[in-house]
Amino acid sequence: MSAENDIKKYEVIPGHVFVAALLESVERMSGFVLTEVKAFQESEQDNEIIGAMVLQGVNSMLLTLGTNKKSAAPLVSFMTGIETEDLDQELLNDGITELINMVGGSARASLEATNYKFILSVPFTLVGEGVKIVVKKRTDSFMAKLVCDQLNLMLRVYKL
Amino acid sequence: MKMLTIDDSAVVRRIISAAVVVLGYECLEAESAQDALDLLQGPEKIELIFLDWNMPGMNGLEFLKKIKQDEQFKHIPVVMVTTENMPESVIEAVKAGVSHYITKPFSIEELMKKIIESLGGEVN
Repeated sequence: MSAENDIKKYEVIPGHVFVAALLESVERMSGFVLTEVKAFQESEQDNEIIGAMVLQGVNSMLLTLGTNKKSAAPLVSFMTGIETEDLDQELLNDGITELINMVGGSARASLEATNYKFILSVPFTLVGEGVKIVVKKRTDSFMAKLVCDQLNLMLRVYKL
Repeated sequence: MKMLTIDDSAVVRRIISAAVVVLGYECLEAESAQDALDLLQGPEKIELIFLDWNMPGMNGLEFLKKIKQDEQFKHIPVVMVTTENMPESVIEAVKAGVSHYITKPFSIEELMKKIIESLGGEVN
């Protein structure tokens, strides 16, 4: 069998792989167990801090993790052991950026033998009020909201 | 005993430092490989290094190769802590001289186990 035949083909963005990677990353690093919300509406509050990275391959993607300060604080606090009131904005940004880096790394291993194989860019953060990522209509994208009592995270993947 | 964590992420440095301190050791931090090289040249005697792979400037693998060629530092065990989880990356790091390899994400228990193993201790 040729190597080409061993490659698993996805018709659309394999969003479930990124969701699984995020669930694993958050649980292992902080102990929080997230669940996916099936029906949700986007909120500007989900975008106060956005960790992002470009996944470059035949099917290049932009991977983002959006959240708000209220969610980022307990998450980074449980990751680091630093009390929430002692966390500054820089640490919150860094924690979300590091998480998206882990999600990208885990997903890369899972997608290595597929048509969504990619290499990772350096992760970066978008911060500010009312930050939005706007893509052209009909761009293939995937979105998932993951929550638990204290956390509210929005995972997005856009095909570039 | 002093350990050194090298990572451009302050959050990761903090996680590793906290685990090291819980185990009763001291942990110094460097946010770049160059800062770590400068620190190694100083008076501090480092006995274990935690090293990220992907960092701006000199990356972790380049740093590893550099210190493993240096008579003064080549004996220091290095634990790679990275999102680089592909088998070929692990092999490359082992060939370059890492003692242990931890892929992110990791639990605090896994991290502490690797620290103890790196120090030659028993883990229950």
